[in-house]
Amino acid sequence: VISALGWLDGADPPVGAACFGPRRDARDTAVVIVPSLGHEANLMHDGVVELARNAAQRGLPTLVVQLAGTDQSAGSLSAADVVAKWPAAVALAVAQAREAGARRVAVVALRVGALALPDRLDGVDELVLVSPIESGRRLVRELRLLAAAADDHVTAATSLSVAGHRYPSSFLGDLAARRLDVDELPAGTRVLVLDQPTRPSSPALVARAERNGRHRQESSLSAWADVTLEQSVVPGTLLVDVAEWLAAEASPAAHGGPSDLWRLASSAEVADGVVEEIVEFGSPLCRGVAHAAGSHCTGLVLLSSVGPGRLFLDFARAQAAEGRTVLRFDFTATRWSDPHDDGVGGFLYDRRGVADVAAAVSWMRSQGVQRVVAVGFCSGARVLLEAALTVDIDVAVGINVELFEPLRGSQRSANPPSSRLLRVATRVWSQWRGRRMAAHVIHSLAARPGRTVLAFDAGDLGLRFLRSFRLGRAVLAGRFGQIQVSSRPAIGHNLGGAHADQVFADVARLLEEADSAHELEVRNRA
Amino acid sequence: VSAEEKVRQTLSRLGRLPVDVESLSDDCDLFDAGLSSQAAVEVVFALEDLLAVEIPDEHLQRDSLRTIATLSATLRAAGADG
Repeated sequence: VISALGWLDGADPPVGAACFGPRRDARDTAVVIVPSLGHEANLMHDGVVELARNAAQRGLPTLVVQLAGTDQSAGSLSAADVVAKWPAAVALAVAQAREAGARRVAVVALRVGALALPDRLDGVDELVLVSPIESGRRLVRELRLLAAAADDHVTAATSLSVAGHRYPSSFLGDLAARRLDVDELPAGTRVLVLDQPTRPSSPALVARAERNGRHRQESSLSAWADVTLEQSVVPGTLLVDVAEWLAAEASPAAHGGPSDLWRLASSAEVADGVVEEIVEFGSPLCRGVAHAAGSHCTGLVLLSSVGPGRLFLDFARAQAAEGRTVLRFDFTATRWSDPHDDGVGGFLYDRRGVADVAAAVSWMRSQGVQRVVAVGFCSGARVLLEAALTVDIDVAVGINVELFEPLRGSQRSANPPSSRLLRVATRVWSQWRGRRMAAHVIHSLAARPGRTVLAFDAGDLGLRFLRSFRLGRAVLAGRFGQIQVSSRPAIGHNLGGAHADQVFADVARLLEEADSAHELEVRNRA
Repeated sequence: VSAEEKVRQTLSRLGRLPVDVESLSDDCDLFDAGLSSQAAVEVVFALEDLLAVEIPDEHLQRDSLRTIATLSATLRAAGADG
């Protein structure tokens, strides 16, 4: 399977897209995948990539469309007409495939993706709807419930924040107005509907699928779309079933594969005066988006392995607009970067990310950047701090970071010990282990030549952990000169809080300080 | 069947609580008892479908969902019998 990242040619404003396809022996059915939105898109991302790879392995050229205001596309959910742009992007991807020689075109819409489909699905032979949202109004109520369940202060009039994703009230209004119109589905389109028993599709949609296609209920889907990261298990057999369903009507193609069907631009003007380009580095390939050739001596690297998909995007584009070289990238085996050869990876706190950080910093230096400020979030920050011990990073900023690596799901005991004594012993051992790991990190960071800044939400677990032991309290008291700690209220762990922008204002100041320090050093040397 | 009883039955089916719903009092905090936000969504939507009511947006608040009693009262205010 080959894959590529870019912006769909001909889309205005630029629409991000990822392309997957077979190296040879392409089939004549092209697949367009429309992902979900927000926290769901985040949790389902690995599944989307796996589905695209599954389809590509069966010879089907596959394109994942990134809706306006999401992922690497231009636009913002606060823009007035962002929802209206979604169907046009899907229609463009379908039309390009059809015009370039795909005999059949299939569209796969996951959850909210169903609301992004064009009103008329002309030219679509197969439609796969995975746990589809048929009513935008119901989706908005669902988002409101999710936000309300986590926050006492949600009211009907406000914008919402769900798992770090912020939805302005204007966007929610536009989203509520959209619906999947079953009556408009072309009679000849085969429809596969996969839904969960706890969230059944409407009788009209089920009847439509049974008339020309298939309806299947699958309880494992709920694990895929659930809200906590550890539960986001991709139902692999289900993805294989979808890929096989898509491939069933395909024949050998006359075209050469995905690059013949879709033209992906490797750079695009994503905002006024901000041109971004796709960059690839390291082995396996890390993919990222960069604004290169900045005029400042300090460059900014943003590590985005976890957190909302556009966690750093607005800040990156704002810094790029000011002429700074900025790179944000995905660790190997996560999001759009290539998997490891052994197929293992994609989990949080993966230490192989250290090599990715080194490759990213090396890329920055190759662009003429003199100083590097690198920013990581949560587990990405933990990997960054590990990397900062060996990689030349002038300022490493860890946002809401734990200074130890929490046990991963498989290492954790699924059933807590029944004996009280054992439970206490387990807790004490975990605390000892965490503090010992943190002590190693603290002493190592204090000894490295660059600065380290730990930025926390005032209620974050990472900050509470530091307060829980003597060495941590010494760090908070500023006794390690090279390590600074800042905490601010209402940032939120996922930076979805009302004052999250303050973190970025702090990082902007660090960048300016690094610029000034470099200029001073140059003058002194002269 | 009272609204409270329907809430209990739905919580048992979809709430994914780590404790037996029957062990919870009507005033017990469901979120403290382990109700996740995702499960809360499924419970509320299932109750709305079951009782053929729609809770007004202004009542989709944590306080309305917090206990069996408050959720039942919210459903009754939205027009549910019982």
